[in-house]
Amino acid sequence: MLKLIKFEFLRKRMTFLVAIAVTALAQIYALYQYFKIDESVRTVINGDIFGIFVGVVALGFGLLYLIDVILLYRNDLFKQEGYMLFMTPHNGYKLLGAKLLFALLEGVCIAATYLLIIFLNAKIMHMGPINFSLSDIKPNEWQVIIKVLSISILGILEFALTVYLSFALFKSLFNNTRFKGLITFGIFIVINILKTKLVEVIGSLLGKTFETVNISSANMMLESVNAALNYGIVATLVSAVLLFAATGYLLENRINL
Amino acid sequence: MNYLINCINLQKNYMSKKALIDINLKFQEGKIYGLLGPNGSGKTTLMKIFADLHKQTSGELVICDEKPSHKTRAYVAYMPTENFIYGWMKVKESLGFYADMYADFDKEKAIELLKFMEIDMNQKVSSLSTGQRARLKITLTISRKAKIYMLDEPLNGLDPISRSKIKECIIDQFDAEGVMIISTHLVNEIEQILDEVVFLDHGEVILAGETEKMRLEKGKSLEEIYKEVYGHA
Repeated sequence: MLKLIKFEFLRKRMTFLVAIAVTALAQIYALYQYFKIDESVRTVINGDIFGIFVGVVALGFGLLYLIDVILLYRNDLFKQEGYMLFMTPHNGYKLLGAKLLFALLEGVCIAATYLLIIFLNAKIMHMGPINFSLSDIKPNEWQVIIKVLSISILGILEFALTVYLSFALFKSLFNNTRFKGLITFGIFIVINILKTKLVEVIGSLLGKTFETVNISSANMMLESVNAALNYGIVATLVSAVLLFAATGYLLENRINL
Repeated sequence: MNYLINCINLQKNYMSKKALIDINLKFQEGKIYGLLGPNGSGKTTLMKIFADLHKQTSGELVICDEKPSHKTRAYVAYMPTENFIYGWMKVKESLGFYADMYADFDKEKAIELLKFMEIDMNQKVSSLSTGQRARLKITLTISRKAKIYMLDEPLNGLDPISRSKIKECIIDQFDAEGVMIISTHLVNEIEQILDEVVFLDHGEVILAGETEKMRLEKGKSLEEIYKEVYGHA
């Protein structure tokens, strides 16, 4: 597994270097534009500028990350060079698992870079002292934070696996058919519909749905958030496990490269 | 006699198209086989099924006493006709990849072969010429201590120097305990090294047997037999 992850890292190292260079240049350009604004105006709208900056960077990083996660698998399955990986004596589940683990590691690195950029810009833009201490967080708040992180990670995995299963179906059961792109997209839609149905089933089994959890109320309680998160985690986990099993099975038993 | 590959009534369909029809073949250790036939005859499909990159539609296949799976890939060194080595890699990194992924890969042997093939270890794969890429592909494949070697069109589109180097390499490195299957339609180039041949046409085996016996029986060279068999095409 480690060797497979090492291979993914070697493959991506040039992309990482280019991404770092582009991010650095974009940062310099953004600061140049920021300091071009008249100081009196800047002071007034400083908070707005910072807010937009935080949002735009998050959106940019998020989009690039999702595209990269898709390409991580697509390139091996659809390009001739993928034979090099699929000829190795590793089973389909292991190949898939290595890609998912790498995607998660990549996500952690991108998230860390994002936080670093935001922190540095907050300093440069004099957004005031950041009075934040981990010891200030209460135990029940920690619970929510951990659950939000868990559901985010599971959500990324589930998204990646939905795309991967579409590709795997296309290269196995629907191989050598016409309208390649259309079929793959159709499969993606069908899997999402099935996922929604699965979430409904899990919701009814747990006796909870988003409607029964009052998260829109002004008096939203931490308990309600916790319940909604529990439900979300279970649903996403079950969905991710099923998608992983199906994709791994196809890779191992049905694939036609 | 030890047969490393045994297929019974092997069939492969792509939707309504039959790519392989009732293939019954056995591949014996210590022999070099030629898989001959024009484009589209089913050579590559058959090799990909042996390499576990494709799954048969029906029929039975046994590779080294096992059903094809990721486990049998450890015994099979397959060289596809496609440029399968990642272009972003340096030559030495492709060696590293093989060393990491295959327990039977002999890195020292690969380095020696690369010298013989006149390929620079520090060159990027994407910057290699067609001939150099083909030589690298065969170096990586042959440097494994596998039981079954399969080379899909190893001489296609290559200059005479590359062809001669590759042929020399195949002869020198072949292990009597293994099986080598070479698919080609450039029969005259390799006929002298083939122990047995299998002629495929439209997914069916139309002729198979020992090369020498076939030559003597028909009083013709393998290339002439090939022309006779596929003359109708």
